[in-house]
Amino acid sequence: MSTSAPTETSPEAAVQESSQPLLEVRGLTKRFTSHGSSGKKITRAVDDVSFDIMPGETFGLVGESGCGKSTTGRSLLRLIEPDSGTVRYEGRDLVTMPRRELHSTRRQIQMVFQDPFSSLNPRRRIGAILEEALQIQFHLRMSDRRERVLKILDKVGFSEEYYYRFPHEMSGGQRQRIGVARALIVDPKLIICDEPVSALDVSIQSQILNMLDDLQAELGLSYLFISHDLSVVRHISDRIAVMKDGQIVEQGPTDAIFSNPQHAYTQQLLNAIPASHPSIARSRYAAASASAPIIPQRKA
Amino acid sequence: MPTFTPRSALIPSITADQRSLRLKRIRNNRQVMTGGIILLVIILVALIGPFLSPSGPYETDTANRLLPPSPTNWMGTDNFGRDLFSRVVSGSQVSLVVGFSVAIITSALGLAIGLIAAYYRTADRILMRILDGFMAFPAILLAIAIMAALGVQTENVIVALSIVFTPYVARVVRSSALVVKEQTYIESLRAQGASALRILWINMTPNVLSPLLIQATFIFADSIITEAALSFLGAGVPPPDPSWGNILFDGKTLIFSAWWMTVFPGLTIMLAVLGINFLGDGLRDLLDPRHRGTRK
Amino acid sequence: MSDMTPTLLTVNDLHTSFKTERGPVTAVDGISFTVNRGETLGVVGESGCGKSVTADSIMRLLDEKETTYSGTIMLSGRDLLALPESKMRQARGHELAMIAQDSMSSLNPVFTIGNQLTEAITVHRKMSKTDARLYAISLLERTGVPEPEHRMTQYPHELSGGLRQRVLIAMALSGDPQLLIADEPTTALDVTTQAQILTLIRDLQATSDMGSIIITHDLGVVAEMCDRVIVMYLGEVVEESDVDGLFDTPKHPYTRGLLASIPAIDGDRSQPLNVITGRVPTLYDVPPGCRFADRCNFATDICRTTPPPLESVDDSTAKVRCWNWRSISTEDHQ
Repeated sequence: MSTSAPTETSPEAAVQESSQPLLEVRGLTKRFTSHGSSGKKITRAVDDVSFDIMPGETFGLVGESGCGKSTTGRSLLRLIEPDSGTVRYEGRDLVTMPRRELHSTRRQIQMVFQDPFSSLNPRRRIGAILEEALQIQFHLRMSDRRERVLKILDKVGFSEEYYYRFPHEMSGGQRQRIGVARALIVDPKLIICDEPVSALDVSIQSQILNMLDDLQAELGLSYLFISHDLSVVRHISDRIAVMKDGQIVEQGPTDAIFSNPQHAYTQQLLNAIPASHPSIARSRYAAASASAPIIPQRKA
Repeated sequence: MPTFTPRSALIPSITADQRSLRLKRIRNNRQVMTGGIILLVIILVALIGPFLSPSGPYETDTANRLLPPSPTNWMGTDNFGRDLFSRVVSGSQVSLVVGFSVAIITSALGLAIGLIAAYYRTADRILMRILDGFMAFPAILLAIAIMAALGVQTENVIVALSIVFTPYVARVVRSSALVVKEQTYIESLRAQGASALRILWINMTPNVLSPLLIQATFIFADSIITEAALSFLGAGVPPPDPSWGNILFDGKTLIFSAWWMTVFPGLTIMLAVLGINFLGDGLRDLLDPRHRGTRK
Repeated sequence: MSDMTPTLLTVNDLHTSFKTERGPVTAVDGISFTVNRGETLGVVGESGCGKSVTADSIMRLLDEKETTYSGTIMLSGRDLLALPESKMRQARGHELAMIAQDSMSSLNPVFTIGNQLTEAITVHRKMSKTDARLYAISLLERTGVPEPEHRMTQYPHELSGGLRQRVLIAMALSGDPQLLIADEPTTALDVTTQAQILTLIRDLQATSDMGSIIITHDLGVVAEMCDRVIVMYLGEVVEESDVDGLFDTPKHPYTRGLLASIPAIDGDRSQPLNVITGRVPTLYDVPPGCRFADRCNFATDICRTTPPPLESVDDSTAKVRCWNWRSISTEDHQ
């Protein structure tokens, strides 16, 4: 438990260290055994995953459901214990770190969750939820805690009265902003965003994405952005990894991946994105029906 | 030194709205109102009754044994000439104290056990086996056995009933806690590095309070019945202390000749338990998620 | 037996309100639209706009003790809202069919696929069990389910989300419906599965004159599937258009904002996304005047005081509910 007050990270400091990765993941593996009707089955939810996240960058992890992206995110924080591999944060391996040291390192890597409706304790007020984040990591006087909470509420766009509100009095987008506030209030360097906008309306998504961008520019944060939505990932990520069946099939700078996908699965994913204009859809459909006949209709 | 604006100034309209909505909902729930009123009446009588009755519950008057209800003895007299009304009122004090104490103790113990079982899987296996073992015995038999081991005293009735009923509360808390444990906010707390104590006590407990409270009201009712049964069998509140079960015991052989010794305590037990059950049922409706969809 | 006019469904001035603890709430406040045979209408909107309630109203699936309808819903000459429940039950599954979003909860987990399919079939057709089974298999083939005979013996949880959705589509088709309502049919699916299901629905439409209503919040699905679109906001229709017109020249500020706020797959990544500020008001606090006014960049005084009517756009069939749409469109051309 750190007794000193949290300090602000400056973007300049982040840039100075930009040659060293903030996070180095090597060979991360997690297996699950299921005992189904067809006997024991071992699934590699995360299979030998390796990637780096540089300071101040957004690394996108994209894939469909079941590909292991969420499990990867959780394994980094040891919410799920990995079976093997290393996760080096600023040079120190999180996987083998003793619990005590992990606690203070945890402060620097925070997480924003997907479901705005269950990510906040329905029985506690927003102020209490945010103060608790501070209480877990710091020893601050009550008035200092409260001041920091009010500051962070302001930063994510809430007035003082929201200190007293309950989650159920707020919309999904507002709750997600509180989720981000909760991650920010302990001054992290890396935030793992697990599908942070997938459960939100489109018009609210853009608000949250812009806010994440602004916060990154202001505070020099790094993000691991996990999502299944390719358009969103493309917009916010500097580099991307595509996952399928627990493995990373392709990774690289965002522009490269989208303009010149190498792996067949990446191409398949990009082709599946719905058209942005009906005329594009029509020409694609016409081309597809020309090459494959429409399913013949059987007489009933 | 910064000053902080209090809640009432910042969101007065919302808190007032919520309060009036909550009160309206309570007032509209007939079960809670009926049960609550019955319970209130019984508590009032238990507190004031001793001042209303002409004689105490212990004063024997062998000349006036087994008198039927009259203006001087509202419920008649028992086989020792004691005023039955005083004894029933005094017995209600016992029943209420026993019931309430058992409810509190089982809630506290059941909460702790249920939370730990839900949170730690290895503890869960051991604890649930033990609790299943206890629940395999019919409540009354188990209570009698414990009373036999501890000695027949009113305090031991509370201990025995607490042991008997805690498993049921623990079960309820455990199933509710298992659901809460899967919620994202609990995962978030683990990611933040929260201690197990903070997660269990500060965060999970408020979310399992509703089913716990409902279960506690039913335990209250069950305790009253079981205590009466124990006392009826001679394994509960020892004479001459009055208890509803005790009085039934005294009137056992006189059901037809001195019906008031059976009917009055019996009616009071029934009324008390009915009131508490109404309250519990009503609470369950009030506390359940109220957002039902409008689909058929 | 069905009359062969092109218009299949006409919804006229539909209002749907619910009784709640805090008073009556009108989730659908006077909407009108038509669906023609062989056509796909998209109903687009975000949470709280009333699109799902519209679908439920057409199917009359809402609890009638707490719901009040007004207006008319004409399907093949009959007003669905005026039908007794027994006749409505006959119509459901037969003339009208619906596919809901969550395929797992639309299927009974303790019965096999075959069981549920044949049940759906025999409700609306007199058939022997063997015939129904054969018909069920043919439906599964038609909806692209591989190994249909084997699937008949499987349980819902043994199928993937995409397969379950195909089964639901097969069930919906079993009664040979004239109108298919799909409520967010692909929202719960992966993008590759979504593409397959959308292609399936398009193929099915191409080979029949069934009319369909696709309810979605995803404008990409609209681009792929729909011929015409209505955009809903807080219980009202704010824009109606053919699909090309909607994407090329959106008229209502909300539609424009929606289209602009989606990160385009080929857009400029360095620019922040366009944002519609604020949030949707709740149905308890419907603003006076235009319901979108306090989030609108183009709002003027009249917008805040007087609700705009839904008016036609010049000579086209498009409609828009906005006082200022003309000046907004002229701004574009400058």
